[in-house]
Amino acid sequence: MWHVGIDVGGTFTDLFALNGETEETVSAKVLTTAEDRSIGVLEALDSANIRPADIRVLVHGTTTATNALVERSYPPIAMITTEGFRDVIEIGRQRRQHLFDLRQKRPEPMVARRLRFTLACRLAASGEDIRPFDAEEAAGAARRIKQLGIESAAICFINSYLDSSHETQMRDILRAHHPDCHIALSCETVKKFREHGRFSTTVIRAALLPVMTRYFSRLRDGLKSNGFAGSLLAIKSNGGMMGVDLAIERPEELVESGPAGGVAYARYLSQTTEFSNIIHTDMGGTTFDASIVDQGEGLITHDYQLEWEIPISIPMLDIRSVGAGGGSIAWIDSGGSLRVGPQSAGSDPGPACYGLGGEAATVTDANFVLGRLDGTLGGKMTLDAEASMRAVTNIGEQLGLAPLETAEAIILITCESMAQAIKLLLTDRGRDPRDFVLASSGGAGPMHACFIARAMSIPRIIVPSHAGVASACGAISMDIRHDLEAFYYAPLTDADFAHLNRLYAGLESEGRNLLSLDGIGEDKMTVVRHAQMRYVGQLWEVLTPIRDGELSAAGAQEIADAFHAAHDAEHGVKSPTFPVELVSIGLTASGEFMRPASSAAPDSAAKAGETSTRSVYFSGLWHEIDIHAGEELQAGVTITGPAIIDYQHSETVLPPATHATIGADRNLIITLDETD
Amino acid sequence: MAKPGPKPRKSAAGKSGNSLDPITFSVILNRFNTIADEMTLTMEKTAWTSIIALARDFSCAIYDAKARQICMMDALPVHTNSMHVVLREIARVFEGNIHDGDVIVCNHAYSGNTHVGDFVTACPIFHDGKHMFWSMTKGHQLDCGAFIPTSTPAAAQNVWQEGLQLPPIKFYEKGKRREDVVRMYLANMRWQEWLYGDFMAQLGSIWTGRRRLVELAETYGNDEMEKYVEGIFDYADMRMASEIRTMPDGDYDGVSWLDTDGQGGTNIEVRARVSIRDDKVHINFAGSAPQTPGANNSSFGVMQAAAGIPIMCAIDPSIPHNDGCLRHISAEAPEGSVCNAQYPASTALATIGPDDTMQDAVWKALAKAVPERVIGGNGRIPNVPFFSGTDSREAEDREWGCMFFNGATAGGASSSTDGWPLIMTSAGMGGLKILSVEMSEMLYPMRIDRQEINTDSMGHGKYHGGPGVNIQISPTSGAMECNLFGDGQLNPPFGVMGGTQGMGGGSYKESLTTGKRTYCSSKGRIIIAEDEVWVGESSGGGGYGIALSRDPELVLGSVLEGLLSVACAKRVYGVVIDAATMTVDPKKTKALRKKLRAAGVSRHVTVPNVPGAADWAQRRLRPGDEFLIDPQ
Repeated sequence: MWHVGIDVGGTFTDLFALNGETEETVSAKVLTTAEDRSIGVLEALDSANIRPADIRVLVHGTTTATNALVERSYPPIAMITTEGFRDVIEIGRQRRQHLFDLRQKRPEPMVARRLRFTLACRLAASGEDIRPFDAEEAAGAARRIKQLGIESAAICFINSYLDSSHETQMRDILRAHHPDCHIALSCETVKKFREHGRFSTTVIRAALLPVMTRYFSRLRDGLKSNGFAGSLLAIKSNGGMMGVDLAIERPEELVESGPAGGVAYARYLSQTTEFSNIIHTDMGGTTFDASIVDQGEGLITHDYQLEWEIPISIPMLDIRSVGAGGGSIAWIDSGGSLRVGPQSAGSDPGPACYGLGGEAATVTDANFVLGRLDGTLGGKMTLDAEASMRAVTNIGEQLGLAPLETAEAIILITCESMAQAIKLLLTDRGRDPRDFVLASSGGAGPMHACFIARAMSIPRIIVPSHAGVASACGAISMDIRHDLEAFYYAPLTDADFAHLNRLYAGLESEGRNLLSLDGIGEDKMTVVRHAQMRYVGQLWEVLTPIRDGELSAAGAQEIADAFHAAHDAEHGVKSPTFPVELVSIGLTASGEFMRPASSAAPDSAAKAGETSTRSVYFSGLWHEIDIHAGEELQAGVTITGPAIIDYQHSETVLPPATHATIGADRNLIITLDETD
Repeated sequence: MAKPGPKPRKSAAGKSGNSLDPITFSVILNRFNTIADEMTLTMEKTAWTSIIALARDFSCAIYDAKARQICMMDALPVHTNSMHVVLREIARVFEGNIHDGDVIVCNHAYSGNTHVGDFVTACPIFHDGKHMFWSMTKGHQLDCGAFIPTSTPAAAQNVWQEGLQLPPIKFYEKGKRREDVVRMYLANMRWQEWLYGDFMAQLGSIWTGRRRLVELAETYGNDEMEKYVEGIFDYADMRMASEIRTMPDGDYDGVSWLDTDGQGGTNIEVRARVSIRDDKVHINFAGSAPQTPGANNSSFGVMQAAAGIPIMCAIDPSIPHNDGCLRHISAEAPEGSVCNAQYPASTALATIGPDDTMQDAVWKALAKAVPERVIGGNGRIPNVPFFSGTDSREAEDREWGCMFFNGATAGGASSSTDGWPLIMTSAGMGGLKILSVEMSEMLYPMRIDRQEINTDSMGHGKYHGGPGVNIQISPTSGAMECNLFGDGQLNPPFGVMGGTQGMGGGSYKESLTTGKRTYCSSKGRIIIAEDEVWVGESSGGGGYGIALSRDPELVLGSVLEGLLSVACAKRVYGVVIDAATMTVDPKKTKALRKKLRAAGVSRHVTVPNVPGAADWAQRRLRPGDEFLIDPQ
């Protein structure tokens, strides 16, 4: 029986599968079918020769949710909120993205203002019900929503994190009047204060409920009618997975469902190789994603923004994207300086060398001019060398540079901007680059990894053996994971530990219950507690690990110490004499699923096999270098740069002054030699 | 195996004759930006007070050893367009006595700082024994030790009433903290722990900058570094020069008014002449009113910033805002005028009313030169108070204070886009953030009853200004003190090229028992009792172009979204909407627009051109209501 990971991206649908009995693995890449993405999933299975009936588990990552949000291609939704606050999602935090740009536009709010209804009921910050819920008024809003034919609504009241009763009463009335309406409650979506994040996340849930219900039903039906009888799981933004039934109820957790698979792969690497701290990067045609795996776990953020001032306030992997990819376009600004991206040629018309009418010089063209790219793109198409040269020459003439220098400059500037994006991520999260190795995935990633690492002074790179289908491969190494939170605000010295213990116990039983729904046995469950804490008077919290077992006032110092350490790790400073407070508590309940076994220990006697050669340009010189077929290299082989290692779905470029070793699981470990 | 390729050529970038490698140039430019970003992140995430950690009233920047701005990112314009002024004074004061490990602070407006509330930390950065850079932050403090609990005391009449004055002074010398000096500073402040926390955040930020800049100097060496810094200036210089050459040479005049001086004087005039010559712009505030007796005067630093910000907004936003760009703009104002006060006049509110009034005069002048590159007026902030009081919700009473940005005003429209909702003053240009309602209610003894878009509050036009907001707050634990320090109640955001002015706006308190309203001018101190509610209404931004030429379907969209009323659509836009079907009646619209056009449309480049043109108060005042001007 097969364990299958499938990642449905904007352009390609990737598959990676492991046979539980024979330990055989297969991978496949097919074009995504935009009109009905479940067709692409079936095609990928077909291309890998896997019958749906032979699948035990199918783990699925998808960008469907993100696309629906970004394109606003969900059916109109309504919002019911507190009188006086219908504009919370429109006003946001009021900040502008580019202070000096007078013509920028705000992203459209997710709910039209005319569809934001208000009720007079109001809770005070003390929890007191100062204007009671009025069932008649609520029924009026419910009737109007039904009348307008709206199929999904978000219910978001101020201070509902303290008491959910107004929201649940509104839900019951709406359900009674309009049984088919999808409903999202803010008190259920985010159990914390700060209305902008809670409302925005709830609205996103409401927008996705109809979209993802349809998507998953169609996918499940498609699979079932072809004989599929296994478990269907979805990848969550937090780096774990959940059953599809739950995913339909909590679709806001699917926004990073695509890239999260890649991070899971990096996490798997951190657990199966000697590298426990990994910067995971993924570079495709238009974007570059970076994230951190620290001590074997992907770093989580609580303030993700879908678009400018549209936050999703749930724990999500901290994945940062910049517009840099193979299709990024080189251009000259009005001061005569060379820039690359964020504009991308995409796949249509694509880089000049695709010969589909693109004339702009892209990163792919620069690589091709330098001889670093196989002229057939792994047999997919024949690239047009003249078109690339023309495009790059054109840029070079404006700079007074020869074409080859220009091409090297384009690569260098792209790699530099990717390196800076990683640096900002590391600073933001208080991490030191010297403690990390760089993992490089994605179709275009391994081609640039050495240059990015050099710009950041990171000497070690790992190119995982399945870099070209990283997200699909990561999908089958994941755990089921649920993040649960509860609001609890008090200075640590005043904390009611009996109450805290009850809250943690409640969260834990909820977490275990969710895991058992996906068939996880008690022995496979892990629960890790944490709390959002800050210094009294401070306004941003830091996630602090909390130990297991009964908490008591006697253990308060231990909690404070854990916070000081976490604050130091995040921000590089701590103030051990300052008082500390709790803002909310939470836990992560995870259930171990299955892991692909590690294989093929390195053999130091192994030798590189057959190679071909090609002329490749590095640092002002042409080199005649070896091209190795990656799939044929034995573990233990060492290759000295300059060289190219050609894998099925990606190509690794080793510039001079580097060497690489094939490690366990045939991962490529690259070392940058010291240079002056 | 290697065979030689074409020899790498060096291209001559820049006019200083340096031969620079264009690729290294891009790399270094990018790294400076990242370092300034890192400094900003460090400060935001570690600060203690809401004014810095949440509202983001701070800036970080990098300078070379000659105090020339190399890089600023994502910061408050009124800070970063003038931080070099105070840094030059710091460098002058300590000339010959600047060492590795020093941290120099300053909040003194007469040393080139913006106003007493802004606290500067600067550290010189050395590499191989040579002074190479400065890293610097400026953060708005919650308190500065004034006689009332606010760092923007509108009633201050001189520097002594403003609070503690810190001319450039070392808090660290050669890496050692001067504990006695830091204690003296804190002893003068309210909420000492919070302010100490903010100070630590400002230190963390400049030290992050130092660490990264030393790494950079190590990579390239001092000589190369200096060469490329010059190249970075030259690059911005060249782009800025060609940008300004596209603006027609000439002298252009603008005039605007400050509502009140905080002491009862009204409509204080500011005049600006913008002179464009080849690649230079000079702004002269000659002819402006004399300095006022209160705190509403500009410092030299703010005058420099206010003159430059509109110009910086009118250029390609991708030109780096470094010394090479700034050197094309110069400004002057007569000493002793409201634009450039003379010691010991108070300038505590310089970054607020005076800044925005000066900017409005410059924007209006610029509209005559390059109308397509300006926007309608941005709202000032007549209703962003500093609230304070005693919190008795817990067993132990606690003093509290908070600058409350949530009722901020909106931005003006451009020649191709509607205005940004809530830009919050031209000094900030949208760099500030508002506070969470739920968090405010938890932290402070207040209830926020409303925070919603204000219908018909904006200036109209082919593109309308962003809408303002209506905000309503009640104290929940005894009376609450409300210190207003803004402007723009009497003088609304201006309209451009036929666009109309914003509504103006302001605030009042209303008694829940009698219903009586007490209006307060944009400055002053009022007490909100427990049976009273404070209401702020902010203005939308100014409009751009003639409203009668706005697409009727867009007008309908704004009506459906509740931004405009049906009546306003008809009266101002000439769009007739059928109330039953909520659709545009094209026939009636055509006829009405023809009639309105015949009646005449504005031919002014900007409106209003008279002081005190806002009609918000007249529209809202009812019999029996009271209006207080600058109550103290």
